[in-house]
Amino acid sequence: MSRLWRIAKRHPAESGVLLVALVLVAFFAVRLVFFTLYWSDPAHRNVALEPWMTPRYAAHSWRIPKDDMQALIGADLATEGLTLGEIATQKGLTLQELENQIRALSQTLATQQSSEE
Amino acid sequence: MSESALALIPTYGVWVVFFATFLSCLALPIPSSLIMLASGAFAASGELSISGILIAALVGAVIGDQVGYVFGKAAKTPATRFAMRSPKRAHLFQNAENFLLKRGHWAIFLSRWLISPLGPYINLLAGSLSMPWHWFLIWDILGELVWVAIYTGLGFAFSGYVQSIADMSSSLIGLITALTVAVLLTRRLMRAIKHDPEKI
Repeated sequence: MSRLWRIAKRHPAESGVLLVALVLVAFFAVRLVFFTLYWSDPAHRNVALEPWMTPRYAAHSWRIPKDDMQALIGADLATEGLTLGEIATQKGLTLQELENQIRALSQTLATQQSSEE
Repeated sequence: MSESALALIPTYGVWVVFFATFLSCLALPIPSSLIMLASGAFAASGELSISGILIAALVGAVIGDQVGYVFGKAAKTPATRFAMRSPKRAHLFQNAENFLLKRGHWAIFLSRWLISPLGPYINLLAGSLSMPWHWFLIWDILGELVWVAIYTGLGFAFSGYVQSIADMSSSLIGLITALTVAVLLTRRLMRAIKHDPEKI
């Protein structure tokens, strides 16, 4: 043990960096486990719509028919490359409200939700 | 910050990808992997061109790496002077130089994608230790190709899972990088223990 300490004192830089590296190993290992558990929970996967996505993105990812999505968003907003966040603001909705409306259109999201009830 | 960066993609398209990879190769804290995942997903839904993303990401990354290499080269003289001032540092410097010349291609290649947090610093080292530029460029391009292909491909294939992929991959890469550094340093220190003259 005292030999380790002597080595550490003689090579302070490398020992210091090694210590930091070991701390980071522990940190990332915990983080990996946490995210594996977090994302394996279907409830978290279902809250999937993000404000930076566009209607086309959401339609593609959750198999929403293009016409349904266009009808919901409105033709004028749908073509402009706006994000869901921007569209929600323009329509005076909260993001959650817009998301719920989109969710209602999606077979995939709907079945995922009902399979948990 | 990630959210605002991602929200720029529908408007500014591949330019977001270009600047993200360019700046992250200069050690700026840009979530470029997440941006590439999201861009791949946007390409899958038809909003961006997949080839546009691949080209923008690759060109941005390689140019960023070359800038790092040039900075390293510019720092070579002051860095060498600093190193030569103590015999121990000079020895370390020489070791690093030998390592880079012998196995440098692995260091460059793997630090593009597998141990990516170290990438920008390896660029500086490669420049300051005068790694031959054509080798640096070749392995840089190959490594960045792998990086761009993996993240854009994953985003393209799994557009609904971009956030989860980003969280898992960043934890995994962080873990692998920290482990690599820990193992390398442990081996160095163990060699020092073996040569420890004061045996108990």
